[in-house]
Amino acid sequence: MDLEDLILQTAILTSASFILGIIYNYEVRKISARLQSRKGPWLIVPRPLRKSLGTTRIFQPLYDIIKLLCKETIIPSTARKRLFIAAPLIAFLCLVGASAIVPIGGYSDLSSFDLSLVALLYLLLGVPFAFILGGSVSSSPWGILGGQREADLMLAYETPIVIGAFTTAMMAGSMSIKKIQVAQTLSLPYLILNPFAAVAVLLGIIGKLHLKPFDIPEAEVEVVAGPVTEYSGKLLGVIEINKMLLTSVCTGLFVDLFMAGGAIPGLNLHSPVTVLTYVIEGLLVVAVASLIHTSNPRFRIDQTLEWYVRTPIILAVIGLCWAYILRYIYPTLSG
Amino acid sequence: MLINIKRKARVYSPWIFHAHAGGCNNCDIELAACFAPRYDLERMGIQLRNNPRHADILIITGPVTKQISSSLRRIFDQVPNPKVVVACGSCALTGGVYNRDDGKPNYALAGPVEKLIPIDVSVPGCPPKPESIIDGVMLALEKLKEK
Repeated sequence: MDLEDLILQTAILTSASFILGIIYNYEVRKISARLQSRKGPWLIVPRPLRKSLGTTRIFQPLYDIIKLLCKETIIPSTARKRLFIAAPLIAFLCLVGASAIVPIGGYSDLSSFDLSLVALLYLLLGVPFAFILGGSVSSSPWGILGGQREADLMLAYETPIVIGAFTTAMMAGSMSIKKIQVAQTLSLPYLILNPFAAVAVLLGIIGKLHLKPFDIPEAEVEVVAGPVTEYSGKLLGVIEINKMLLTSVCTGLFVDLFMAGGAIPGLNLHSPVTVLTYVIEGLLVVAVASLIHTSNPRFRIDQTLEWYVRTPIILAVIGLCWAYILRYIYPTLSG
Repeated sequence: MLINIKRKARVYSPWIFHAHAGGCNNCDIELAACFAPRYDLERMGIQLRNNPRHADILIITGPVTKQISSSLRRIFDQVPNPKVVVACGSCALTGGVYNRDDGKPNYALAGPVEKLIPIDVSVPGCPPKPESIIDGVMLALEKLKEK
């Protein structure tokens, strides 16, 4: 594969996961609004209002981003200017790399390389680091507090994600995401074979996306907006873009590792139907995540750490043992 | 066409910051009702943000006490351009019940909002109903489109 192909594919995959992220974030907003007996952003705007308010609001997060990108950017005089500007861009670059690796319905050449799973986990680790950096250099007490909380939370949620992801790698006998996906089409999706690891990774992803029980770093009312407090205008727009990409990359990671990336047994992995099932499965995962988001209040940081050690990490370890046991009972099922 | 998209996005997703500048808290309750199930402004993509740096529309309630006046000015400066200021309730517009009967200035007031920062839209009422607040926000959107 030459460089031109690589750049083209990265661009296509990044924009696809950006659009998916917009739809997923709309879904989170809509489901949480419906569960609070509100309406949420209109899916279909009532006819008399269409002239001034448009026909649909399914791209509401996109409008937010465009608006922010056209606004004035205020940089606090006490902040470290270069690092303050660089932090969201570092996270953006990490996410572009990550979304090039996560295959959308089987389409990604980078995912077939060995160790692509390790590369992906490292790239995803860069995002919270940039988040902490942005908060710490903004010279706002809220930013520093939020960054500190994120540093604590990161230790908690990365562990189940990493253990769970490596469990799937162990079951498939390969570190490449593509091969894990193919191994699932030959046997069964790992969501069925190893539900412990799947639940552990899902709980880790909820922490990573800062959904409700774990939105401690950017807890509104408590620490204003955490590390994002001092960001405005275009830089905030970049942060919102990062949020969209992170949502779709994390959801994609879960779908690829545990739901065979949308592949249907008997069908070719590269058929357009796979992309459709990938999106539907992603929407299901986000729906589950937003149910948890709406029905839970915010934990304190010490409660979160304790809970993460007590539940998802234990589940992940059980999943790891289960993968070993499965190897001896059904050697044909796993590689 | 690009300007069109820009204007469209601006009208489609205004974020509101609510500044409470003294007063009896009733306007704040009515403003909160705008985001509750009955009126739910999020239908139109309007969100209540608790951070002036993220806001497009600044809604001010209350007669601006002397203590809060410097903070209010600072909050106004922290909102990035383009921005619209909505003064909500009689207190924010004139001082309301906090004006003295004999015409002398009240010792605790730094004046209505108008004295400190320029107002774009005023919403009268004591307290204004959620309908009139929504109407004020819609008028603010018209101004935001032109800025």
